[in-house]
Amino acid sequence: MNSQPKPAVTPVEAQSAEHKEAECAEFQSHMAERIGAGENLLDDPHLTDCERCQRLVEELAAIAQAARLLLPVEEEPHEDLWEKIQRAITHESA
Amino acid sequence: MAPETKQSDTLTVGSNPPAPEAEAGCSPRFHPDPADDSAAQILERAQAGDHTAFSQLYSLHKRRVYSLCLRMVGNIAEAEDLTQEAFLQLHRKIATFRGDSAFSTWLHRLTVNVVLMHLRRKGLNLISLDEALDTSPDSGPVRSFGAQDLRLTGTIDRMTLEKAIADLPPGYRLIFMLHDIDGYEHNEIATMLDCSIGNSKSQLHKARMKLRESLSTKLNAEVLP
Repeated sequence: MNSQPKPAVTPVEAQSAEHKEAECAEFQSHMAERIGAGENLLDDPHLTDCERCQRLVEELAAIAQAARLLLPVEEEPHEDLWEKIQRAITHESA
Repeated sequence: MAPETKQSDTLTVGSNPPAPEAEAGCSPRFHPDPADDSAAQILERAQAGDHTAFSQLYSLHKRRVYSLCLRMVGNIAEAEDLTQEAFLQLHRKIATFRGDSAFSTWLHRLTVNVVLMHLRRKGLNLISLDEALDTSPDSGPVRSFGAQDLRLTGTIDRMTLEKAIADLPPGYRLIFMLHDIDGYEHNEIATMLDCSIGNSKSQLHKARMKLRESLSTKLNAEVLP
């Protein structure tokens, strides 16, 4: 009754994980090209099944959203800049 | 972002930019002009050649123009030079502003033109951004499979994002800024950069992927001891 310990990941599970990785790799490697071609990736069946790639797409959208919300901030140029501009205008007008 | 109008514009880069009044269809996400009479009067007087009014115009718009330049080039000295150039161009062309679009939109476009001209002179190939900017095979955005999930939503603060944007390669930064920050549409960007709409879209995706990569590194670095 000396049973061998069960492996943490069975060969079938490992194979399935590898297959999943390959699917994600395939999907992600063509994203830019497909977006450029005008495809809507949200319609892709892989996205329906794959939480990881769904999250990737959500994160990219979140980055764009964050940029819209957080930026632009306005900063002050150096106080000498107006004098430089004035000089350049005078020079041009001369 | 829904534009104010969908009129196409005819901006070219690499030669003298067209007078911005020809570009009224362009619609960046931008602040409205000050609605008060004094701003309108200042503009009118500046158009008539009143130097004091022009200096007031500078005071009103300097932060906006400078910040735009800074975001586009990511370098303070260059941004100041470009701000100077933008106001010089404004001085030359202000009399041609006819009010077809908001003055701030017109000035924004003029400034973008100035920066794009500058980038062209520096040799940045805006037509083929990939080839110009990412010559090494491993310099493109990383893919996500096998990586730890990032869960960036809600964790991005302004400084981290600003730093990540500043660290983007110039072409990616330009596309990201024009689309995601300033609100230009892909057709407008394509016209500005003389590239296809598809190129603009795919470059934007790559820019966001780069940003994601950069943000995840920064956020992980903050968490790790």
